[in-house]
Amino acid sequence: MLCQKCNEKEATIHYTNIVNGMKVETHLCPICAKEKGDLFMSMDQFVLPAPLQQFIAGLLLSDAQHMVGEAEPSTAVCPSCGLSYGQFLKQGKFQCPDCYVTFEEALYPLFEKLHNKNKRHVGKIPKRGGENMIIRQQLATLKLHLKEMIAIENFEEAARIRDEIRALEKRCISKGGGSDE
Amino acid sequence: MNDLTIFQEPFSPWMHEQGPFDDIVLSSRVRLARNLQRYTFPKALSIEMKQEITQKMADKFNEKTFCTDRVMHMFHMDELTDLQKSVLVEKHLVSPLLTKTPGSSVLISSDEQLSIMIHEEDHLRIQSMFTGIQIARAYELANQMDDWLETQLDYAFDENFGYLTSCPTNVGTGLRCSVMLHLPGLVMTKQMDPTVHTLNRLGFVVRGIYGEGTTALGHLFQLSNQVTLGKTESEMVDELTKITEKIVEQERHARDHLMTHARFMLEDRIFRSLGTLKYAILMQSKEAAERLSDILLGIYLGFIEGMSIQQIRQLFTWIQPGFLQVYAGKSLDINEREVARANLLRKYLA
Ligand SMILES: [Zn+2]
Ligand SMILES: [Zn+2]
Repeated sequence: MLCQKCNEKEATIHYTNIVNGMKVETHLCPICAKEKGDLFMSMDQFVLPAPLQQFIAGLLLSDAQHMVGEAEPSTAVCPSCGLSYGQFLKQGKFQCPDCYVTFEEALYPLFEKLHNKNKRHVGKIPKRGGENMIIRQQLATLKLHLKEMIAIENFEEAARIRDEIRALEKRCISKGGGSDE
Repeated sequence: MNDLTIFQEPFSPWMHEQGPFDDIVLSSRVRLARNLQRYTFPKALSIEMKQEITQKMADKFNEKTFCTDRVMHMFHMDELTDLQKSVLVEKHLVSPLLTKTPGSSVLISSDEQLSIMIHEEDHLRIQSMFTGIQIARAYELANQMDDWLETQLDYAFDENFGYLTSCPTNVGTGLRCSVMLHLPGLVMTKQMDPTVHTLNRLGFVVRGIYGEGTTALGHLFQLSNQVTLGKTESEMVDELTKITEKIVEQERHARDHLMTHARFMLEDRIFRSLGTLKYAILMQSKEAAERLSDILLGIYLGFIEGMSIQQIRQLFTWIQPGFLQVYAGKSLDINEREVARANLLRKYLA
């Protein structure tokens, strides 16, 4: 077997990496292995390991295949940067902020898979984005709670949450939020 | 910080601090990915546009400082030598990707605890590091910087998707928290595989800092969150903190267990490693990491006295190619580095 890195010398060093439960085998010649060994710890801790990147790419592609036959798979092209949905699937990366708007519908199912069934942001909101966004976020969370409380028939708590929702909605309107929902 | 100390000192100032559980958790890091409105992400951005953003950042930090006691210094990758770049990488102040990206820069605080990579995969990557389990503190610091930046810049943000990032795995909070763990006990008692399995199921990523699967070299592992969307930042911080504390507890158990059942084997292994480090003439970084890991364990178990965990941690940085060359004062090829590494370790551990 030839060395995976230089493709020239015989690979004599073999090892298995387990990342996210997936086995990745590496075969190197002594020289390349030495070099790799020397790079020890200098790799970035935040870059996803290659297999996970592959996993994402696989996910994206299988998604695309799945969508063939259903409604058209999104022939959209981002007006700001020119990225097509096909290119996005291939590289697994967006090219500009507007890509998110362009491919929006196709992204929800993908994000659900990548982020453990989550598809909506519930974290920090930049203050420059406006207070209304923050209020709307609180409303969404409260409405979710309300549903849960009704489901388990905790009507006392549900009533309390409903009042809270009303108060917030009033605030949102008086702030001139206007354009929500 | 004058520009020299950052490239000369293998130990960042913050590393001298002690942190909770730092005998097992070497460090905590958080990173926030942020992008600016109206610009394509760095990979598709022209050099001119990149410079425009970098200049904007430089101006902001010249006009005001976000916080009085943390002055940020800017370095442009195009202006650094290869050696200087590898030093920044070895100190985890920048990623290897940043050093290879044309037109990229970094802002680093004097204590080297806070840095902002400019034009890595995203326009901005704010990151902060602390010793031990201090994920919450690390987040607090990065978030403080983020709070200030958002008053100065227009972030790319979407009400549903949150902070918009180049990679779909970062969207939402843009927050990745991670801890670097030293887990020889779990590895030697063969508990690492099931532990990794459980962690994966819970939405965490575990990987060897360098290594062969779950028997990673040096028994060093990095644990981080995978999910960035649909959770609040504080939930994410709390979850990783709790899970890390659990692992620390298990690791301590495993070490106790080994001491009761395999004391001589353990002691033998540790002192063999010490002997090798003290007398070897050639030393590869892989072997050095494994031996140093044993020394860390030896200090923890009380077999080795007169050395601190902090000192050994420093050696982990020192044995890397960049610092070996800084230490030698000249460039060294791979074979020369093996000699230099062995020399350094012999001297230090004598
Ligand atoms: Zn090779
Ligand atoms: Zn786009």
